[in-house]
Amino acid sequence: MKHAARSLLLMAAWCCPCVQAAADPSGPDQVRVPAGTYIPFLRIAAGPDQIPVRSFFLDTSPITRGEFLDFVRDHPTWRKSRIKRLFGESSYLRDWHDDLDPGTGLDEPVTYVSWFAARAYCEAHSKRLPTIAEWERAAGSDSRVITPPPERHIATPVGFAMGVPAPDLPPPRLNVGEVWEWNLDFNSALVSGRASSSGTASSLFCGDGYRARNADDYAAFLRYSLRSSLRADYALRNLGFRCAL
Amino acid sequence: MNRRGRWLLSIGVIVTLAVAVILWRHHSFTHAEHQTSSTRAPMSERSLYQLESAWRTDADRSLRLRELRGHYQIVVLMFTECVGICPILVKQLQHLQTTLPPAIDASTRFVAISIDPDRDTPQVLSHYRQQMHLDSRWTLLTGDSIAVREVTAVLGFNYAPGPADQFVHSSLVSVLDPAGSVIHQQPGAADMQDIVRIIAADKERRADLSHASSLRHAAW
Repeated sequence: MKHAARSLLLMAAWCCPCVQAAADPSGPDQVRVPAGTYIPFLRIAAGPDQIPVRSFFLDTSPITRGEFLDFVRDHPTWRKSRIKRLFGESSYLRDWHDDLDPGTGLDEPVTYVSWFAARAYCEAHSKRLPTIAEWERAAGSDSRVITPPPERHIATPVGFAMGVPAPDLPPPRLNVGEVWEWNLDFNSALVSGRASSSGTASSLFCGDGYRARNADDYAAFLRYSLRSSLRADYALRNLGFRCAL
Repeated sequence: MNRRGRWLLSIGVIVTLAVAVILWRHHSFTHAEHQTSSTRAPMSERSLYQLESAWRTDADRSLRLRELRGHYQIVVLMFTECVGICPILVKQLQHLQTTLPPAIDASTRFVAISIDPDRDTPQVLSHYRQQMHLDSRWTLLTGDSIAVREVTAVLGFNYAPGPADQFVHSSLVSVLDPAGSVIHQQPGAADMQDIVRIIAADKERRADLSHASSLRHAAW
């Protein structure tokens, strides 16, 4: 009978959601990014040269398909058949077989996720999406001069444009470059420098090129132009996310 | 009861309890979901009114976007200290307001949403209403930075803090139908009369739909 009582206790622990372990906010899967500065890639006339970035924690890797599966299990409104179109376009989780079946590659970054879904995931883990300033601080975009890439890089623009951890980060190593990533304030990217500009036409890639702080930084061009062309419901094949704290 | 019987009984108890707990959790879960979906049911999947963020009006009243339901809403994003396009856009919309045909005028309202939560308090918005002579058909809203980020991200409006306490930002007018779906967007500089044509066409389409459905009812 003692045996049975113990089994019952175990069973109760398994059934009660409150006993499930909460995610450790600063575990081995996060890197502590020291305070630093962010130099906006696009100059704004009379704007600040550097923006201070406070110290924060950043996931070392993008969220995986397996992790996202756990999330949609617990939060049915974010399953592929349930999501409202405002929060995720029709390609949302397109490469999943079913609501709870991502197929293979559970350790690979989840993609085809919208900004809303990425935000909801991070919030469910008591975290948030990193801002552009934070992301750029951690990815060390200012730490090297990037010249136009040789042909072989063009084949994988993501790996080329997203692959530079800042040199002053402590371990563990930050893994970047597998996918594009959502930022909390993605829609603050690449706006025109004039408040009186009309519409979005003037904020297209080439139109803003003259404002680039470093015209050789082709990688930053790619990142900024991608972000500025996104909308919150977009779900793209190579766009994932990670969380910050 | 022998040892084996007691053992079987305890296993039976555990299994029964486990099944009961699972069924109960499943039930409360589906029940909760059912309630949410039924309160949301009448809304279009693309409706902006699904956003749950809390706003404050210039009368310092709290407001959810879904309270704007029932009218066409012409939405503009602005901040009161804007020295660029925002006051011009508001003035252009005010002018549009005076030219609306009566039928459209009756079903159309205007919303100005501030992208400057720090400075645009309800009091500041209230002052702005007087200064710009905005009548009761205008709703002026301010919210926290996340609420602003969310609604701008949905509308495709880009903005960032700029020099001299200004924002650099898109200039955009959006039109929502009575259920909160975006039916039209245009840059501020475009012809405002397009908005009237779009609303008129949408009203006509709705009238046709409801006429067709009442005919079907009559036939039954």
